[in-house]
Amino acid sequence: MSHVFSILRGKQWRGLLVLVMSILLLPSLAWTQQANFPSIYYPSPPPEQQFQVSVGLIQITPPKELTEEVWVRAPAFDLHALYGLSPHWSLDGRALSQVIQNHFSVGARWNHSFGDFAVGAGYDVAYWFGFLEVVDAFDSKAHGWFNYPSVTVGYNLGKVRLIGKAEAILDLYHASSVGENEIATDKNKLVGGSFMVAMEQTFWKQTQLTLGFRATLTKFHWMTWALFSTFNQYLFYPEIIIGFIL
Amino acid sequence: MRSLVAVALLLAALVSLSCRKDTPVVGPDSTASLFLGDTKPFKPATRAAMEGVYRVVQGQDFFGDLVALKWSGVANGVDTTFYLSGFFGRDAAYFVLSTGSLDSTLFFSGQWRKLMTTESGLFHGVVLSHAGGRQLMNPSPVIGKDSITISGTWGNGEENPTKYIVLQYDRPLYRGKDLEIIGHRGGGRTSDLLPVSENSVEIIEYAERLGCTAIEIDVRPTKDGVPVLYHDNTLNLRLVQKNGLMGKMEDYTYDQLQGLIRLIHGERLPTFREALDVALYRTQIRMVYIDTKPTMPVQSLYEIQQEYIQKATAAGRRFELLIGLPSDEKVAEFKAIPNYTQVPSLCELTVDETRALNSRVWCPRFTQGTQNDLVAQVHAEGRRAFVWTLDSPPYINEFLTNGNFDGILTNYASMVAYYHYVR
Repeated sequence: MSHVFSILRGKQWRGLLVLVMSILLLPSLAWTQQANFPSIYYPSPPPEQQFQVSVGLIQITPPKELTEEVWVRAPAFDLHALYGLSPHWSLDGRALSQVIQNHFSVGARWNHSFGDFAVGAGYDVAYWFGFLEVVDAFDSKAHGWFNYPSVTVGYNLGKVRLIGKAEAILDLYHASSVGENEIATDKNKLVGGSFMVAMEQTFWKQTQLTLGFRATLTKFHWMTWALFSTFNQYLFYPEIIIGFIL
Repeated sequence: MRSLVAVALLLAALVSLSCRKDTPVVGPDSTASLFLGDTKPFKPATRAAMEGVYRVVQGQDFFGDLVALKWSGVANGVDTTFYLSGFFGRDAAYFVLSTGSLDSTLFFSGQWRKLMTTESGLFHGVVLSHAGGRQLMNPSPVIGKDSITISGTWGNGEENPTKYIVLQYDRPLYRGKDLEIIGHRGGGRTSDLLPVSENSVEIIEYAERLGCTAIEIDVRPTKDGVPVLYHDNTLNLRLVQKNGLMGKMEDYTYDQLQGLIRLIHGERLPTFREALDVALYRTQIRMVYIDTKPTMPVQSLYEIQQEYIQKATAAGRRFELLIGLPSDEKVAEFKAIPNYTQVPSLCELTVDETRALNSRVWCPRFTQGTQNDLVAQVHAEGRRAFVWTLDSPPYINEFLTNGNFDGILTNYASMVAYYHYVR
């Protein structure tokens, strides 16, 4: 745990301060008018037997420890859907794709509202895979399984909903191959965690906009599998989330 | 408008959170001189007898079950300072120890480091007279299983070394198939928190202590054509201390760079010649793989290569200097050298290109696998095959077990050394 805190120090604490300040200031910036609209991250399920779908992009910046002088910021396509099971339960499915690497998850969510506040808990199972084939350079593949237990809190300001979500990252298994040589690792352990802050609000007519920022500290991130990282350290992956709830 | 302010705050947080962090790593042991006191250097026979694979009978939870102990030396004129390195199997851990003896007790003091984590610390150890010291101090030591016990203590970070570690001699180092352990960027990356900076004179001196038998260095020219060692395309805080310069190395003269640039650990920016002088005259490194950067004229490298081949011959040293050919552009420049097929080179392209250039070494990426059929072809033609840049411990083991490469370019020389010597 000391590693986690040793990563966040100096100038990075000032960043966290700005983040916390932004959360505290947001309520005063929002309208007071109450309204209900579809959500993806806010802990409130869709009506029973109905889908709620969001499309968008995420952009993760891998740490410089891995990319060195190159600043890689490749966006990934993000399709996210909820299905209402009951007033408190929903199913959650999500697909992230950069073509050469992809991540699919399904899970269940429990939610409960207390006036303008809401809380939720979820558990997602994810499969990811990637492949990189370039003649005389790369013949690499990888795949694996993650589990993501999470808790979410939300605050409904009417036209704007604020969300905070904490998630643990469990690496159950991952395998990779180069040419005919394959390596598999049965890890089944906690490799990191993330904290996300997001806001959802009306963007255009019936379309809602999600803007979010996720801070992930992890020893292994599926999106950097092709770098074959050997760092047994918690590295920081900032992520911007933009989604349109249809 | 209000939402935009909120988004701006979030983005400000993102930028601030992305700032660079500094992780401290324990440097040279300032207490070593106290611990070693008035001890005397080991005799050559003692050093030779100590090398081997040891079982970690206490401390294996942190360091792993086995350690390979190997000596290296740095020459300074007629004197040589020897260091004992230990290569462990967990998290690319290693230690580097200064040594000395008093009567028949052997003393060790230095640092350990795990390259895959941010951990490091101090290490002290002894071989007592009855635990192998007397045997080791004999003019002709006879060593067998369990005949040497090294008892030591280690500490994490700046703490005093109070945790116990016990190593027991098991067997000699593997001396079967020869393997070049090629240290990337002179021995290792700055990002792996080594005590010396990548592509420096100091890391070339340090490389053998990390397990290297050979090194790879990145060579690019300054504005006035002086070849220097530097990896990145631009001057940046990943590799150099804060300074007033921005942009490319090639935008500045050598004098400007020497006046204003220091590498991360304060070292001077080395010229190619300074690097070769150290490798040739102060170490036993037997091969230098020159990574030719896009702006570096191959003709200039060739002229310096020929000069140092003659110097190595005069010094009676086994010292191979290979010009790396990573691209078609560099191959075209190489072909402009008269009798280029007689010039020692290393080709990173295809086997066919390697054959056409008569390169001594074919060097593909590890991401294509062990490619045993192509390696066999290369061997059949009297060439060698190296692979780059292999750092993942399971893949290092896989390539050593199921592959036939003659050399591995790596950032974790200690890890390759471990898997090689404990075979």
